[in-house]
Amino acid sequence: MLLQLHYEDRPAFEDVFDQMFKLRARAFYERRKWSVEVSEGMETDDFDALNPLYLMVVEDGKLLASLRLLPTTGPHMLADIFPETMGEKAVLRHPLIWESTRFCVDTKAIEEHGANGVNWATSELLIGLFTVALEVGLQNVVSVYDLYMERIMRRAGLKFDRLGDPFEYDGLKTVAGVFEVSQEVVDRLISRQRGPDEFLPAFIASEGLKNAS
Amino acid sequence: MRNTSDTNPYLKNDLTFKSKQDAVDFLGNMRGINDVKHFTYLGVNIPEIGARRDYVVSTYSPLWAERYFDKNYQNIDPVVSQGITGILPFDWSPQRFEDRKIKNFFGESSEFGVGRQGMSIPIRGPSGETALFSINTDLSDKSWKDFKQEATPHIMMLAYYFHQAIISLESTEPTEPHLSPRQKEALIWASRGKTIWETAAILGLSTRTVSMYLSTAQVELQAVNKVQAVAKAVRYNLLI
Repeated sequence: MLLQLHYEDRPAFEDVFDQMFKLRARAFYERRKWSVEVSEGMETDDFDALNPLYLMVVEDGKLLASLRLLPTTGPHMLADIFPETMGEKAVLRHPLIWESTRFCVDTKAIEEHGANGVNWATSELLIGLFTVALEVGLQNVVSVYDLYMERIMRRAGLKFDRLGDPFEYDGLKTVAGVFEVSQEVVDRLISRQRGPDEFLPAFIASEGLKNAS
Repeated sequence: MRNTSDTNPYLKNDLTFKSKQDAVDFLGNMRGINDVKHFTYLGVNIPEIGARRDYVVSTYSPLWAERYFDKNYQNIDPVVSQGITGILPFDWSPQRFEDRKIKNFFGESSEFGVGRQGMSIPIRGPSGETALFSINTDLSDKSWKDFKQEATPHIMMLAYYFHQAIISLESTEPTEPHLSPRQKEALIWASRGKTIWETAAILGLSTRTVSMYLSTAQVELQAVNKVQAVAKAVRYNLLI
């Protein structure tokens, strides 16, 4: 199940939010050793205070994967934290380009793989992200990601390009990318996860999404 | 990929306002485009405007605006209380019949000519400011669904352009646009008549990336199309 929640929904969904911030602490502080702030086992930063939209993959009450979305017209990480990725100080802003950050998947959830060899929770979150983006009418998603993710994202079915050269961030090779939002991408993500025999039209996935939210 | 700027019916004319009345007139001139009945801009947290907290530009009848603020309807208006803080476009219709106060509010609003269907677009600006841009129509439920699908991205673009034009109008210091080297290159080749495909081949980039640089440059320059983007970039001396 995919949840779409703003930060302001936290009081009503406290449990999944706590799970998400704990997962972020494990993924970014413990595993990737980023210099992020963790308090009471939960990782949050200034961008969470801007009431972003979170997408969460939840099964049986357990959070398996999550990410955070902010419009590029307002404060966001590519503009405020990683401007060097653009080569110069100019910031890319567009009402129909949103930024995805804090993409993380519970390592215990990555045992199960789809037909494309990408773990199920990662695929679910990507399908959710690009289905929501398409529904809103976005043109692109931008994101800063670990270089090793490129192979996985390509196999999952995403269409994207690097923006600038990879750089070191807290000891990891990182790069900014621009991702295409289209029906074709959503269809590819779904068909590659399910495999050719189980193709599920995108509108079913998007209906499921609405019911969950 | 959808071309979201050059074909936008709401972004045909330049958005430069010399006075607040210009802004009102701009919205007034757009009434009727694709059956939109009213447009309203509500600036909530805008440093340029400072203490004047609720900054409203609207095509509603002044009577409704007066009544709205007299009765402090912004406190019960679900559009304002729920729409403003998130980032998703917000459809009014599921909210209409929730409780009696809100139902009365919508009933009364329709007496003042507020359309039966509406949506609000939350706006986030570069310095963290927030605003809400709303439209409404009298479309049937079925047409409204089609309208939303087609028009939401266009209205999201309009909302941000309008917001930036208000910021320019109200700020004391002129805001100078900045372009990245790639945005400049993409614009220079566009000015020489190259297509996106040709520009992509010249720069060794994908068409997707070139489109992105062009469209973000257009937004940075507050231009409603490529031709105007090039003209503005030249005027600001950015293409050298």
